[in-house]
Amino acid sequence: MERIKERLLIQSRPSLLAIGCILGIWLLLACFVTSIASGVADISPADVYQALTAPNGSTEHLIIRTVRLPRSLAALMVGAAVAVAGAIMQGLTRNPLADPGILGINAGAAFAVVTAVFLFNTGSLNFYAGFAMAGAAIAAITVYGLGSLGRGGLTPLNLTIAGAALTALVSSLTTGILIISQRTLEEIRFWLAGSVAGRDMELVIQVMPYLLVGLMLGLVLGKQLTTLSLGDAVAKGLGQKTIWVKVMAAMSVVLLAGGSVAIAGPIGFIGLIVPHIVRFWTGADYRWILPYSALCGSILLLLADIGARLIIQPQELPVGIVMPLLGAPFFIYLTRSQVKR
Amino acid sequence: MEKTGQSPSQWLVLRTGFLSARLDRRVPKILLGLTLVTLTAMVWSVGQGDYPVPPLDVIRTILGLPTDNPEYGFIVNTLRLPRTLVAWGVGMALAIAGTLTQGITRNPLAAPGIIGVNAGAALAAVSLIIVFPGAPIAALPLAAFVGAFTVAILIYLLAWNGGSSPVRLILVGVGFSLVAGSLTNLMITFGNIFDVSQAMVWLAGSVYGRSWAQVFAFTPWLVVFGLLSLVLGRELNALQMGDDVARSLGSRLEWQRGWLLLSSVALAAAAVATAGGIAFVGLMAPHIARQLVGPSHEGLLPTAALTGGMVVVLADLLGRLLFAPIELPCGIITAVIGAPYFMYLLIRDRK
Amino acid sequence: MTDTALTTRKLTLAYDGKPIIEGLDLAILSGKITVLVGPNGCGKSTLLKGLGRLLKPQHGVVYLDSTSIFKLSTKKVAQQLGLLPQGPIAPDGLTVRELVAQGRYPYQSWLQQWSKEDEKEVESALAITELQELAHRPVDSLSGGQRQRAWIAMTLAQNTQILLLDEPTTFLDLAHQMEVLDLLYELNQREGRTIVMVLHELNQACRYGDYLIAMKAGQVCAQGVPHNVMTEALVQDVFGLDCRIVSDPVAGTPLCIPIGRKVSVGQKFA
Repeated sequence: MERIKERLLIQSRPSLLAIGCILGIWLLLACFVTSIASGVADISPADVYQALTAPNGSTEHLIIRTVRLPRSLAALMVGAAVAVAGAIMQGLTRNPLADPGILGINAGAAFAVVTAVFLFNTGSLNFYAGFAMAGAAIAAITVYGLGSLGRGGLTPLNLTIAGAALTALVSSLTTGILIISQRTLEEIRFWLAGSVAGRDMELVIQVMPYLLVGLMLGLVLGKQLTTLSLGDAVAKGLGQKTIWVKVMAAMSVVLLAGGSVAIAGPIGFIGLIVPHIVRFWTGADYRWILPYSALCGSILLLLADIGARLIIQPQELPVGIVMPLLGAPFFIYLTRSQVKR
Repeated sequence: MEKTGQSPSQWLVLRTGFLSARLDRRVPKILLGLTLVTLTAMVWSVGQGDYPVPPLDVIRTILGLPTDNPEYGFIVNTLRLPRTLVAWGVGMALAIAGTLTQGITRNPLAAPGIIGVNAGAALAAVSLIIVFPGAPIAALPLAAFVGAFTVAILIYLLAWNGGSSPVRLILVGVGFSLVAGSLTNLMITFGNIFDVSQAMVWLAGSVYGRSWAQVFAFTPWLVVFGLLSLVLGRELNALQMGDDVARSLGSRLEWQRGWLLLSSVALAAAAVATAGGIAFVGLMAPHIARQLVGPSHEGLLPTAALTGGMVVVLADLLGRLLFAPIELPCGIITAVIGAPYFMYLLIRDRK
Repeated sequence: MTDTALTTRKLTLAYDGKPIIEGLDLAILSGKITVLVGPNGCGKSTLLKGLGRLLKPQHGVVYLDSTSIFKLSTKKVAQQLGLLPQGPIAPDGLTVRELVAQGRYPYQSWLQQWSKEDEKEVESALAITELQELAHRPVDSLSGGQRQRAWIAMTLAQNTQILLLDEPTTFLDLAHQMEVLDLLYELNQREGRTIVMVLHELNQACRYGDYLIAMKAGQVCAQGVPHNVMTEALVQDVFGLDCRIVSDPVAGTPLCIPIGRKVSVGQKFA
């Protein structure tokens, strides 16, 4: 632990971090291109470049533009969004175990979508998107509100438990609907697992503004979040308008988490793992944690999605199932090392 | 103020030759009340269904007395009575498990599911239903049981870091639930749709179609571990005051916690194996009981048990009444009532 | 009854592998009030926990009446040694009487859960701490001083010859602090109970302690009667604080008056 602290002191020099950022962007682009190039039909990077800049209507170019590009874009955006949402939430609640999934937001979005499918009898992914956003927003507000009303306020335990309660209630209602209507079950179950497969450009473009606004908002709040992480009393003493910051941060989280679920369904754990990994390099300053989280989150999801496509070729695993399987062991390790009594 | 003799108003003291015990004065009255309500609900529940049976006839049939309709015997004794008894038994087991879990973790918001029992059982059961649909129905409770125990043991071991810690237990339990949930999700996404539907019902928690076979398989677990819990209740009182105070009072901490955890897991596993994942009973019942008889575990445990039994019986009844003839699994009713109650607890407990 | 209630030999206590106290030899005299003093982090609480069998020593032994404390059964130890940790928490809704009754745990078994003896001890403990009027009230509805009395009553019901208390007066206002200390003094005088406590307030330590043990960084710097231990040199050594020692005008025990930078009214700092 001492050595890590030393590293942090060295690493948090802005110049090094800026270089790291640039390297990160290059890595991201590489993953992005690999993502477009991977899949059942192998396509070379040169072809990818051509397809993007000078399409000539061939099948391959078609695949790239209508299938792989939106999918990869979705993975890129969702990965960044969820990671940043998780980082903001960890900062807001001073809870190293926060993540949109653990806090019940995903369950709320899922419930909204299932209800919509049940009531309106049909739907496309694009149709689900609006409901997912609404469901995520309501869940977020509820969990945050309940968690702060508990004994001791927004402690890790209260928030985790409020999230667990909401998840239980809402999942149970969701299960109820799925039991009653097998049709709904059939239609929605793949979406419920969380995936970026089959997302079309229209959906991506539809949700992108929300994600971008959420991301901008989040990044701008970086400095405020660092101050807030010293504690409410201290932050207020330093002159910060903490309520304002919390509201903006919460809005950012809702836009980011809600938008992500709208595109990809509930994907857990990125919001938990990424900020922690990132912290080893950046230290505790949110001005760096947030952009690094965005980069790392995108890279992670892109890689996971590539994996999901290749592991059991030609079949696909939903990326939302792969992530918790990887994430949970890390969560448990975190708990063992971070929680003493 | 009297110097010696009976403490005024709070306790009932029983003393015979080599036995002595004390109980909160409210306990016997409350236990009686709960039993009456439960019995009424059970009689009503048994009378409900496609073939309604009047309450008096229900009682007559159970007691073996003659009634007008010879079919009542079959309907009541073979179809409906075991179902209600399972509901009652499962409710009691979950309530005791919940009280023990809350005592061990010193967290009034803990539920048996937190130690991963539900997640492990669900994973095992869903795997059986979807991956081996041809397996006999009798294998299901066994699989759920094994799954529950395995996960509980893993959680205990992983949360052990030189000693057990209530907070770590909870958090590792959450982590495990998420892994198991993910694997369960995997099967739900890719399994045959009919099998998946069936799995969903099991997951929601239901006593539909439970027969005497289940009653007989379940009862020994309830009796053995229920009694063990009652005996260990005293130890819980000491544990409540923090590790240091408990140790200074002479409690063998890890030993007690181990046995209590074992009882809790056994009861919860048996309950989940028999009736699926009925939500929130393990959380609600101890709280309601605490309001009624106070925090001393000698009285709390039996009260919680009867409260839990009553809740599940009522939930089953409601599930059959609300959208008749469609039956809602009782697990959904307990969740719909339980989750808001849980949140109310969070708010109310604010200091 | 032996002269020493508790002794340690080459005691090493550690947290997470880091030793806080190393190779300590110490004797606590029975029937006396011993007070542990020292700066934050010097190991007073750790030592107390070690003496109270709450911490397993990395090396060395703690002897209770010439038997190693870890060789005795937990219940036997609990009948002779009671420890009150810092800031104990009682479960919601527990009444004072129920809390005090918990103190009888080491004497109870599955068959004998509430003997006449238990009842007698609880009532006696309530009487000594003057809590009979409040016995039916929930512990969390009491004031700080009353609550601390209730916890002490629980330790009394445990009927141990030796009482270990970790900062029993912290977070209490002055009047309540005196209340608690006077009670402990009375217990020691009337019933000859051995009391070992950690106190922050040096002057209270001098007034109530028969013996002081001053610690710094896990080592004992001085031990003995307050008159001998509480010297200006020691306070400078252990606490890094300049002071003047005078005689307490009320009790006659040593009174430590700290000298800081501000030593007169309206003084201007450069």
